[in-house]
Amino acid sequence: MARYGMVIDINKCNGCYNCFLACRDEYCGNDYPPYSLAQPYTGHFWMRIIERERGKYPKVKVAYTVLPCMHCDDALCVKASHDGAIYQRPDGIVLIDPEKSKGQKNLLSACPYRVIYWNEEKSIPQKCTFCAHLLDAGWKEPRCVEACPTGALIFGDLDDPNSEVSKLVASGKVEILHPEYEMKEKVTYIDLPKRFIAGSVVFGDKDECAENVSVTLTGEGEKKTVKTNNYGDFEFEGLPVDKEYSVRIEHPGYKPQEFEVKTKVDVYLGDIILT
Amino acid sequence: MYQSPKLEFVVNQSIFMDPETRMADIVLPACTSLERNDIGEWANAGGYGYHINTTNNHRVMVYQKKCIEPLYESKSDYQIFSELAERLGVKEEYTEGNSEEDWIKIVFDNSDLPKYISFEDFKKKGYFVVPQQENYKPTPALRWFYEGRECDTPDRYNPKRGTEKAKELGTYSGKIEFVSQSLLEHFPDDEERPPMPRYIPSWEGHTSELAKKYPLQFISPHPRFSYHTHHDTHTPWLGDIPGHRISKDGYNWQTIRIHPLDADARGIKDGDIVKLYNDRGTALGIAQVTERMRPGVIHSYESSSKYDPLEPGKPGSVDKGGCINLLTPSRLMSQNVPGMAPNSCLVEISKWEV
Repeated sequence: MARYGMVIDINKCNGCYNCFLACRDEYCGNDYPPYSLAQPYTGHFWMRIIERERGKYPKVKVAYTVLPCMHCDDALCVKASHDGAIYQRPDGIVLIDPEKSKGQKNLLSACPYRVIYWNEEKSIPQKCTFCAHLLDAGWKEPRCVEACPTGALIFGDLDDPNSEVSKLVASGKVEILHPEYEMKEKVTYIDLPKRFIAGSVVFGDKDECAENVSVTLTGEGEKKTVKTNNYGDFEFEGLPVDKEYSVRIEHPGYKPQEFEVKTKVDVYLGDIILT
Repeated sequence: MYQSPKLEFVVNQSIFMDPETRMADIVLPACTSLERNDIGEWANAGGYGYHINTTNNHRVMVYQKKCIEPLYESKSDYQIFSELAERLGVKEEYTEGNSEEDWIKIVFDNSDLPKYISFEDFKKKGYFVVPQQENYKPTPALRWFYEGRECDTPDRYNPKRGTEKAKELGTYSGKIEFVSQSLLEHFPDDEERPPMPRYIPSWEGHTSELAKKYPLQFISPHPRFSYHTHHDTHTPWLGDIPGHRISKDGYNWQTIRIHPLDADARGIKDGDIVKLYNDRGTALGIAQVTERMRPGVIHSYESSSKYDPLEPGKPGSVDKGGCINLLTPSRLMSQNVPGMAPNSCLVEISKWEV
């Protein structure tokens, strides 16, 4: 028996929404009893994409955090449901029974990830099923994973040590989106957005981009030095949230500059003019 | 265009009741390609390209077998044209005595398909994957020129291809030109497209006089989530993709991106309904206040298919659907350049009270 899980590589997601569209293509207008009834044409996000803008113009990044059901082993929704309306299959997939869940609107708030949606017309809660009806018919992966052109969604058997998901989980690179919920989520992430500190250095006397300038980041018991690129840009990526750092910029023949920075948000120091 | 007195009569033939269908005197309902048979190449770019396999690894020829009979009063395009031809008394001339299925066979017979597969088998199988030639050699663009060989790319517009000058580029000099010799010969005095490219302040840009009235530069690139107008109106799912349209109060509004500084100066907040306007037109949309924009620049995708005028029939009506193409100039890049210049466009934006 397989135990299904998914790894989402945030760095590979460019926000094309193919997963979201494939999900709607599979479920809108199509009933798959006893797995699921049709998803309404709009308003449900069984495969949700949260766009988070990081930084300020001109140093801006967008992180797309993809949010399907986490298919938790300790799912609060399963505990909150009556009459087995939400249950976990032996392969780990968490399903909402479209018959038994009728009228149980309270289940929407049972999930702290808020990935359960209310079908007003049928009076049932609905969510991502990992395309269990397709897996049972021999498919190797859900529609969203099949539709992902960049390989940002990786799906497979967590109990098979040779599967790609198992290898990624074993690599220690994956994280749970909200570990504080303690629900043993089977959807995990690589490169969840953290914080960056960046800036652009200019040689004031020449009015030129300052290439190859040393920039040193100190804080959190660490010290890292990078060189600016040919646009004078530097960046420290993947820093923890809400920590204090100092950034020191130095180049022979110019006065060193130092900035005290807090990573409450992503920080772009703007143009730093060396004199 | 539909207001022009020169336009006597409009016929619209479409599979949908599109916004443009409403402008027609007569509507001819066409069936979808799922309701008629046809033959075609999957993912070919029509007349634009040769040897193209943009979304497949191989060229694939398809017998497009219909799934259902045409619904309601709809008919196939060929049937509509044949019946019109019959009423005009030119049916024989138009159809040459062929049915729709006959034409599919004629196209099949005129292709290389009969060398590989019979028409009956092709129809039964539904598709044919074109085999790779055994002696196939890739021909990357311009490598022939770099290596001093004759032009070997399927570039039919190179006038020297297949001639004794086939090793040269298609330019007048046969070389890469910094100063275009053909422009120098034919249009040496074109101020807007000089033979040597250089920066020219736009006739409608941030340095022009009009910028005092309309200070924001407007860019309207191809949409990311629809194929021009295709899918925009008739796929409600796109209203749930914030980069395309954003749903508010039951209406899918065109997304208009604005930098926080420009938004603050106008009292615009993220999610506000806004009016985008200049002397050419006015369109409504929903503001997405974002650091992804450069201050002073507004962004919204072109080709909204949702023309929804607040005052139908009145020229210059405010468009609720977000047809931002109403605002872009229709003049060409220069009098000698048949290229549009929709990004040379200045606008102003303000909050719209619904």
